[in-house]
Amino acid sequence: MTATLSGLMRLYVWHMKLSVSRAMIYRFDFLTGLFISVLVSGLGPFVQYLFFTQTRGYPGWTIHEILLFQGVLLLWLGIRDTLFGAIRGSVMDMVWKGDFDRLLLKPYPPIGVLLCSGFQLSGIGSLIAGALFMGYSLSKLHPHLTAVSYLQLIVAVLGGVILFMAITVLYCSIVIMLVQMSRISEMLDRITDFGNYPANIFPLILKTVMVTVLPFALWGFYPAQILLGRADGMLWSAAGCSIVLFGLSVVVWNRCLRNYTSAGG
Amino acid sequence: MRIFLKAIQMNLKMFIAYPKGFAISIIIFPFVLLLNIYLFKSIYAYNGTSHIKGYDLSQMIWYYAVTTFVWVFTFNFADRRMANYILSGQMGTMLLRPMSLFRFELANAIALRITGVLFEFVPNMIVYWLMYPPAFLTWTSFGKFLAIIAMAFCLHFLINYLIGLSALITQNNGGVTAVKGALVVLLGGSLIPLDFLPGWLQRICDALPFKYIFYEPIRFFINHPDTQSGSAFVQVLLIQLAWILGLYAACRAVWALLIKKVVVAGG
Repeated sequence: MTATLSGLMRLYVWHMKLSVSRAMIYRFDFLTGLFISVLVSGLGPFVQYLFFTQTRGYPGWTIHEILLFQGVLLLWLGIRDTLFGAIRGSVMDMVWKGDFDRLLLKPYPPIGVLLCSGFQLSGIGSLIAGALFMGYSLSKLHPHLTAVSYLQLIVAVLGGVILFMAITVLYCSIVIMLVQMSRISEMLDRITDFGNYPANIFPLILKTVMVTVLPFALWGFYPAQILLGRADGMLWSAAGCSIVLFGLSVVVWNRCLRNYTSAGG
Repeated sequence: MRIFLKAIQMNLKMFIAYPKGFAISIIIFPFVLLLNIYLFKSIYAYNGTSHIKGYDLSQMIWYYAVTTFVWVFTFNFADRRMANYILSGQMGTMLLRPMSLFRFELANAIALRITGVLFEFVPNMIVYWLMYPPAFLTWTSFGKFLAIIAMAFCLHFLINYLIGLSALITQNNGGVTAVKGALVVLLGGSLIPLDFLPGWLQRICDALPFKYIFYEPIRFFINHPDTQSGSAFVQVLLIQLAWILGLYAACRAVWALLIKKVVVAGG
């Protein structure tokens, strides 16, 4: 188990180096992509700003608090896209062309190899934009952080990463079963996009769903609430649920893999 | 024309070969509608108003639902496919086909959208209708929407094709595609109704084609008061037609200019 994990970590680093080299081949595209990514990442906060200036906004949130929320969200999106951004495209491509079968012959579990091939350098655009927005809003809000707050932040970030890994594993399971579905990625994004809104503006039943069954609140809502000093105890249950979801996704993956009957070629 | 229809048929067979995938949208899209209903109910209640920027609650919920439908009617991969042809070295084979790349890509986009409309729009429209009936919708507004969305499809395809041509210079056009995506969603009105944008930005949107892909078709669907006159309908159709002709001419000119410089490599 330890040997497998350390082997997968080495594989991840190797993929990381490859991804950087690949990005450097089309330098112009990478640099424009990075610049554009920073600008495009600003769209979310811009839309929220427009919404807040044209209406009364969301209950319980001021404009600076919502900008902090957006900054945290962008930072999270940056982490997510940098660590795992390439997985969706590569798994779809591999299954479509029949290359996925090669993974079954490798000495590591196929899902581990897939998760280790997700590094995408262009994700740092969102990281930069998120850091800028967070820096700006924190300078206006002056939060007071304690040791517990830092612990909560670590739990929220780790829980968020595990939740995203669970969603990615489920995505890969669907792809190997259905083979071709061009807009599945967009559809999944449409659901996870609800994590882009503060969970407490939804009715209680939906808020409960967002901190338990589908704990999207770990991505933006809880880190922002922690920084604002108003996180509740449901953070722990959300983190716990993300681990359970990851376990479930691996079970689903194994079942789909058993029924996998190759495609493409 | 016969080859073009054959290409559509061939692509249709390819997309229909995997029907299970479409079933997923019937589960996911209604869930998204449900979340939107709760989200906007909460926002409208907090704002204590029946209208925000001229949209009542029902129209605002449907605005975002129809955004999904516009994607279903107009989405195509021409931009990414063209870059892939260059990167994989397939461009050479494409140039040897008995039909132009433009017509082949158009056939692919039409086939993709026929399957999208049949397997995504029709079932989802029925489910949405049952979940949150659109009291504002009339046969006339729906008919106008269909005419406007057909033109929006052509516009979206031509923009993507033009972006795809940029791959002849940059090889990998991911950056340009990202810019186009951002412009389409923000200045087209897919992220937020254009009525929320400041006046100067709305004027820029008026001078660009993107609002004729999303904002105008959606407004016709939700039967916005500004779209109820016949003259408004004709005006939008004419503007769309002008953009289509302009973009088609641009595609032809750029192709004629760049095809002489294309180097087929890769693999």
